[in-house]
Amino acid sequence: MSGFSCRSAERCLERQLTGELSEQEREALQVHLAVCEACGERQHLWASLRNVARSAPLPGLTPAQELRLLSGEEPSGGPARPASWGSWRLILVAGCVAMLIVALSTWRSAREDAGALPVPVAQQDHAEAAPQVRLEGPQPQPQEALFLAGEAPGTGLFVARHTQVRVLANDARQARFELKRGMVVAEIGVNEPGFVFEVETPVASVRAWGTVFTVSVLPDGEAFCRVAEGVVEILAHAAPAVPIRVPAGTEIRLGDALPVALQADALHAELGDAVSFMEHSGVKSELRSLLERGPVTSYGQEEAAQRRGDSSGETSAFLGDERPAQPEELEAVAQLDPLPGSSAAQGSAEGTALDAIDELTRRAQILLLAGEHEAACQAYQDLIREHSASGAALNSEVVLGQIKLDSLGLTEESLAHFQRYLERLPAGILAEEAALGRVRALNRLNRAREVVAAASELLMLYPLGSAYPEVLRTRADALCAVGEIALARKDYEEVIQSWPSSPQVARATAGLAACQAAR
Amino acid sequence: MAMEVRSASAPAREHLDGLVGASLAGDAGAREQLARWCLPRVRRTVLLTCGSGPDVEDLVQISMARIIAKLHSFRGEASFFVWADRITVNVVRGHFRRQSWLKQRIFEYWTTQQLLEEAPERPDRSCARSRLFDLLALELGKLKPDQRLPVVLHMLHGYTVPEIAAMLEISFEAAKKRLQRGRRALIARLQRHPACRELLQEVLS
Repeated sequence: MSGFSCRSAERCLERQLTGELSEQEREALQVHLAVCEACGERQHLWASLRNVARSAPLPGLTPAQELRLLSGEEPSGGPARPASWGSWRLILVAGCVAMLIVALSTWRSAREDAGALPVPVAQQDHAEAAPQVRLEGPQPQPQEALFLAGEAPGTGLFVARHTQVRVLANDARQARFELKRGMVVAEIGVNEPGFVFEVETPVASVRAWGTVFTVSVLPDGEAFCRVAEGVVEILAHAAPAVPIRVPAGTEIRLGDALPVALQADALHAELGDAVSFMEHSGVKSELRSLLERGPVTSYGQEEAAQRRGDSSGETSAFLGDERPAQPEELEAVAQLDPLPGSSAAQGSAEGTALDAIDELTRRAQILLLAGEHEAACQAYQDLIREHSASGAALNSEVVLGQIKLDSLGLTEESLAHFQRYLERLPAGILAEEAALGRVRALNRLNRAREVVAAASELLMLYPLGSAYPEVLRTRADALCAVGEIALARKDYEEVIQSWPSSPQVARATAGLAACQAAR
Repeated sequence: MAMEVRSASAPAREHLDGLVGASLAGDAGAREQLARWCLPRVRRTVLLTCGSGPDVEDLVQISMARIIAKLHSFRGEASFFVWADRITVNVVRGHFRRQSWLKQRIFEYWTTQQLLEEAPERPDRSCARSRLFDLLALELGKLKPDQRLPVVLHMLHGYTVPEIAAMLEISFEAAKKRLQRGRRALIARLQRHPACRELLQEVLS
């Protein structure tokens, strides 16, 4: 069948899943699969995978494991299961008692060991049944495993399994971690002058201000940094005098500080790519809430002050203290000498530039929050003008576009901002937002054919995007406007059937009715 | 809805029903036989939907425990394996609800990476078929959980869309879309994976 394209074949294969394929279509599909190499290969891959999924040998079980699995008993320390209200009350009471015991014992051990607190080493170990951070030395056991809270509010490290992290320093002025192996996701919520947040790897140090980023050290020693927000500075051990600034949306190999090819595939396809899941707003807010919550272990003020007073620099590091620093403690910390290598001590031009960028960004954000949209626009434009080469300037293009589109009604200008970002950073961290902004702006300008193109691209690149139904509905409107009624109907129907609770459904239903009337 | 099992290795339905009856009557041997039939199926489902994290073994154990404990509620409307799959799926869904997507992605990344790195050293995972299975689990782990479950149920057990919709308690359209998107994403990812083609050739040879 000459008119049977690869796309038709794909559609047929998908309809085959639902048993909706007619005999005629089945025959056409078979013919196509026989002559089209690409489709045939895909189908063959799927069939092979099914076969492997069903027949591949499973990881071996020891006799003890097998016995346990066949015994019919539930694991004692397994994943938490939903409990009834009665059980919850019991759990709450038991939890309170346990916390009291833990608090008392940690208070006692902290008192005994306050004089010489060794640097803790946290290591995630997959071999343990429950994810736990193992601490060496007389340390309080953090209840929130896998998370290292920074002393500075909103600052911390999310530690992946199999990761070895050593806390070098953690106080109101600095948070320094040594990453030996594994992956950490860092978020720095403070922007105080002189505050240093640093992750050291075997090949380089990564330092950041007001940033979300990940650092990974692979088993072969290769290290990577991916910046999701803000800017980080990389100091390679081989060339410590030449810091390299890395903007948001960039992945960089730390050893030679060379940017890895910035491609959508690299950013989105790789498993565990923190940048891609950071883009997921729900995930990000969850990470934020985790960072804000911090570990539940707490100390008495006396112990923390004593510990801080008796130790300084690296030995003051500890895990798990969520209590905010008291004024007297902050004063004591402020009297410490500037840290060697900190931006305050160096006073470097790069550090000053980063400070200026942060300051401008913060000012713009405050104005935006206050509803001063025009002033916020001006602040972002200042940032773009004064630091045009920075990642923050590029990100500002998207924010500016959104403000102008949603709040100021400057649709043409907003479109230009989105276009600029997409031209310079098509796979950047804000690319999805920029692409969405472009679709909305074009739609508002009634440029239907361009809407169809831009929306199709967005739907293809971000099939998991939260705005998918909105974009689909917008494309349907545009298709309707250009007379492609059948295609528009399909989009409307998909919105209605796949997202029945979406607010887009009402508009899609109206659009569908209009389509039917037009026919 | 009566659903049929398409697993080639499944024993005859009458035989299974007989084992269930004997188990309920207190025959420990029959119960063990039933559990042994079930175990690989449950493990396969959990491994492909939840990767290789430390929770996996617990999830298998919970599923097995519930299957055995709820035997009395098996009414024989569907096949025993379909009934057992439904229990496993519910355990996995509960696990997904408790574990955020972020945690799954971060924590599974390194465990799976570790598994792949260590695979050649483990005698039971050294063959290409096992490594392809691990790779499949790894790539399935990249899908969102709501797409992963339909894909695994279809790919592994051959459930149709209406059956998946019933099992996951979602609409037909939602099940269809999730399966289609998940399948498309999985194939695209595996086609891009450099080791996949190599392993596949090794398996086929």
